[in-house]
Amino acid sequence: METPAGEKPGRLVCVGLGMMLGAHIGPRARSHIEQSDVVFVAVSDPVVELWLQQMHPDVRSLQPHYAEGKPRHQTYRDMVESMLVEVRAGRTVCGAFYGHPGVFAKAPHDAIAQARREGFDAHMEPGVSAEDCLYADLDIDPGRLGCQHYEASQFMFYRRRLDPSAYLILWQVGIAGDRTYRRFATGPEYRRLLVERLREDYPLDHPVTVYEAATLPITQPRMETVPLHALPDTPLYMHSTLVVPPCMPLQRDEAMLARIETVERAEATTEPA
Amino acid sequence: MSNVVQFLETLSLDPKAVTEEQYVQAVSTANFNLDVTVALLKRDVTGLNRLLGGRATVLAFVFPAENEPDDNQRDDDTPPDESEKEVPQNDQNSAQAA
Repeated sequence: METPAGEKPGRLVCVGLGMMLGAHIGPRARSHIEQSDVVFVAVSDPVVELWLQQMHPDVRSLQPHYAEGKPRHQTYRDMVESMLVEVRAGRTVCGAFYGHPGVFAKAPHDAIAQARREGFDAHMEPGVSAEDCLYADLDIDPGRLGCQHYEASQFMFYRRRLDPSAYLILWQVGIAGDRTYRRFATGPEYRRLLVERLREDYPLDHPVTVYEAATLPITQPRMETVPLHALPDTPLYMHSTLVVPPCMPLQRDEAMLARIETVERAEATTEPA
Repeated sequence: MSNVVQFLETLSLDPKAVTEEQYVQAVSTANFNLDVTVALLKRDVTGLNRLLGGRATVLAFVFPAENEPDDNQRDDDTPPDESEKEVPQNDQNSAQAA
């Protein structure tokens, strides 16, 4: 039987650290890190773990839950359980995740849901995500032409109706096509399949950009543009994201515009003088 | 080595544009040991992590392409798929995906 949330002493908050060490962390996230009993961290760089260790005496990395050959679903369950053990012990727990803790991040969502099911107070504090950095670095406003986001493997596994007049952004492209959930990279053959799928909607010479946000102030973001056909042989990593710009202009929906005009005319004739 | 982390944090927080010359000057006058100084000047993140004693590698995948199949409670937005048969079976304690 579930207990109403907040009636037990333990609590959980998952916070976002932003992408770059020190540059993006918000005051609420920092406060939660400093004031919690224990802090669990999943971050982008080892030095970021060291940075967090300076903020709190009990920082525990979630990295040991990863292992080559270990199913990532199990890894995420272990991450959740390690945080929940401390919550159940009545402690105030902070999960600190790089970027935004709720964007392309399974463990924080699962941990918060599980804590609430067990009657504990739990919530999330947002952070600056890789998506936010991508918009800034590549000068893209998602509102201008629209923007479609998919996890790269999921995009390959399922049929999607792409709109080539909007941006397409594929996350975790470095493991595109992986169905084992046990690897940390897939190779050129998988990317060739991805290119085959994309060529249904884009020409092979269409420029695409591999993006990696800068995570330390001494590095620059990677923004490497290559033709689509070159993607299989382009180095991709865990944190690589593929940005596919539109290949066609926006298509006006003349039928809908005509119907809107009809509504506008009807409104004009019924307006009081 | 904590002052190296503080140096990086300060560098992140400084909103002013730092020229390469200013960066070299800041690193050179910070009194880090020679190896750290060289790594910073080369912007060698891997080498810097190693020198600071951080873990060798960091894995950053935190999102699966698909949720796990669950015979008792399948997510509405995750239709059945042949590929899921290759995913390790769920256990009763696993949390449902968001």
